[in-house]
Amino acid sequence: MAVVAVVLIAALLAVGATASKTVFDRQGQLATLRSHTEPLADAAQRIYGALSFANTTAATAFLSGGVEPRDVRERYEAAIGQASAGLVTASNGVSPNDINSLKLLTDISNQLAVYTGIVAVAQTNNRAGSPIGVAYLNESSALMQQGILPAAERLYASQSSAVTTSGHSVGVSRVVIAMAVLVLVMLLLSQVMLARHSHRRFNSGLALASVLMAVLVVWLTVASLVSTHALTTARTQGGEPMNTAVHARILAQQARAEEVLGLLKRGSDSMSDMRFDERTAQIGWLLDEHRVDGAADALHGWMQSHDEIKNKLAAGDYGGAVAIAQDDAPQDSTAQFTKLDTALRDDITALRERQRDGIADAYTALNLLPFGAAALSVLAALAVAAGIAPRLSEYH
Amino acid sequence: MRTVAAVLVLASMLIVGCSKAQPLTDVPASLTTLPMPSGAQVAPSVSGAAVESCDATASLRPSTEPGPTVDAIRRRGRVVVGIDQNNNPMSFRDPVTGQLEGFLVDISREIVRDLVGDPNKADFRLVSEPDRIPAVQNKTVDILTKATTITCPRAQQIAFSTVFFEGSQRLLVPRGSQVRGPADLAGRRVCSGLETTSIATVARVAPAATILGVPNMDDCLVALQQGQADALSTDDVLLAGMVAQDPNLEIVGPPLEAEPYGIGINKSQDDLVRAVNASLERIRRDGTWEALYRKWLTALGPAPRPPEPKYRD
Repeated sequence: MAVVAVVLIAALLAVGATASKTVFDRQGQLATLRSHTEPLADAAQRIYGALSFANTTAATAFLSGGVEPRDVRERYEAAIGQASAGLVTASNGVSPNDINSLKLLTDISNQLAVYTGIVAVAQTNNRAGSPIGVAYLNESSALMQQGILPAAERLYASQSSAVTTSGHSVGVSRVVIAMAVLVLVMLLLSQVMLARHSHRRFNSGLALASVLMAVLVVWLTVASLVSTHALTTARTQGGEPMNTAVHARILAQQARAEEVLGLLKRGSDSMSDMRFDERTAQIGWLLDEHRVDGAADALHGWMQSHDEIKNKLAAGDYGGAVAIAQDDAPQDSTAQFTKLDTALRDDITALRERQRDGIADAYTALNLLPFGAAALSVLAALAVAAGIAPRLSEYH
Repeated sequence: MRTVAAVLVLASMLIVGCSKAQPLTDVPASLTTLPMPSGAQVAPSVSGAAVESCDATASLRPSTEPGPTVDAIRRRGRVVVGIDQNNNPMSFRDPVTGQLEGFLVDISREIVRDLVGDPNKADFRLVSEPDRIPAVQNKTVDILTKATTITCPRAQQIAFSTVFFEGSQRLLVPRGSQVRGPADLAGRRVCSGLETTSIATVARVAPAATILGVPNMDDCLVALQQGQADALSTDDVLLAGMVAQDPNLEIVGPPLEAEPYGIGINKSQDDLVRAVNASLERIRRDGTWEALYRKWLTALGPAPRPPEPKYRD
């Protein structure tokens, strides 16, 4: 009988400690997810947006001749500032072990300094009336499109996949729940055994321990289900559609850069039109997959306005084409692109909110459970000791 | 009871004891150097054949007799001119005014004046390098005045006017460079346009040089300014346009290859070729050619005599 008591108490304490530790760790993971990984993914996405906006704006400034309009210049500067601020936020979210992300952030930060230098050279040349300015602008844009933005995209991809991957794992591992069930069975069996060996049918200590264990099993199961469900919701209704929206936004910004740079380089790059068509077609597919209010209309309007630019160019009316690309009229390319970009940005913000809520719910569902598990198992162990000790003395 | 307490302590230690401050990781600086102009590549090998010498520069005799093509253009009242805007000072878009300007633009306007009576009736269409020959072949443009060297393969695809400008390929280097001619290029890096006649000439006259090819000649100037090339080579007109933008550069060395410029016209439109040649005769004769040369190309030195036309009929 003494052996049974020792085994039971040891098992109870082991289950309590394991459950407590696992749930605690899980909450830690969720906290890291909420306070580091997810904000880092979001910062990466915002860095991408700000940088490509800066790139397009720098090019747009060239469309208007030697001196860039003040508001365009201010937009460019603000975008560079947002990108730098995003880099600081992102660095803050990277764990010191994540060498890969640190390397990407360093690459982005260093190349951004080189980029702003080249843009400044381009602007100076343009202002001096030297056509070489466009070649520098072209170089800066190539650095952005082929060096900086892919790094930002990789950073976003790695962080957002870290977010969705943790959404796949369950709230509390099944092994822990199985262990608790096993201990409960052991408790019930020892009650049966004790009933056979003694005159009493009912041992209140063991019974209390069983009830406590049953409570723990139910708590673990329910908390795990609720937490897992919250994370799944965060993934399927937040993270995954958000990835699609982010991807569409990236493509939209690339297409806009092609449109503006294509106009600037007209006569030396016939590929930019093709790339514009390719990218807008991809955005169309993504929007079929994930509907965003107003985005499809804006995309359609944008493509129409782009066709008009193409027609003007083909007819030799460069001034007219530039006017459409620069114009703020609601049906023209700038306004339509802005509408599309804003719709996607708002959608991303809303989806991100949903994702964060899901992660927060998954965390809250596990609240108190680490301490609850420890307390329940310790109490159950005490109950076992209290229940069996009198029987032991009876035995002697 | 003591065991229970011990277990509790143990459990709480398990829970709390896992966090430990990690040291900061040092990441070395990366990618701090200027990138190469986009699309630049070290050309592995360029065919070094000389530009063919055939009868391509000989054109049809001038005539102002109206023909079907010229009549059609006159009825339309506008002339569609294929040109580019990245070729300072030949044809470029002035960054300050946004207008298309240059030697070729003015020559085009003179031809348009003779064809339809008003120099402002030119419809400029921008054509890219690979598009220019097809644009003439499918008659998207009436005349192609984008800087185009007359070569035998091109002359098989489209008709050319008489030579209206004689360019010659030379070298552009930073002022004070030790490079004074093709012989000094061994082991150095020379930039030129990918798939141009110039890059083949460089390979022929400086076989020991490393050749950097770029999609657009302006990118060569960027490479030169960024110290990624020791010299660049193309037509002297383009070089003069670059010197105008950066006075720290100079044109050196002997002419490496002649680059006769011609106006491209569809092969089936002989009457238009003759009309354009008649217009070019007028431009050469009445001093317009010299005036335009002085307006745009003084960086090349004083205006020479206009190139003598050659006719094959």
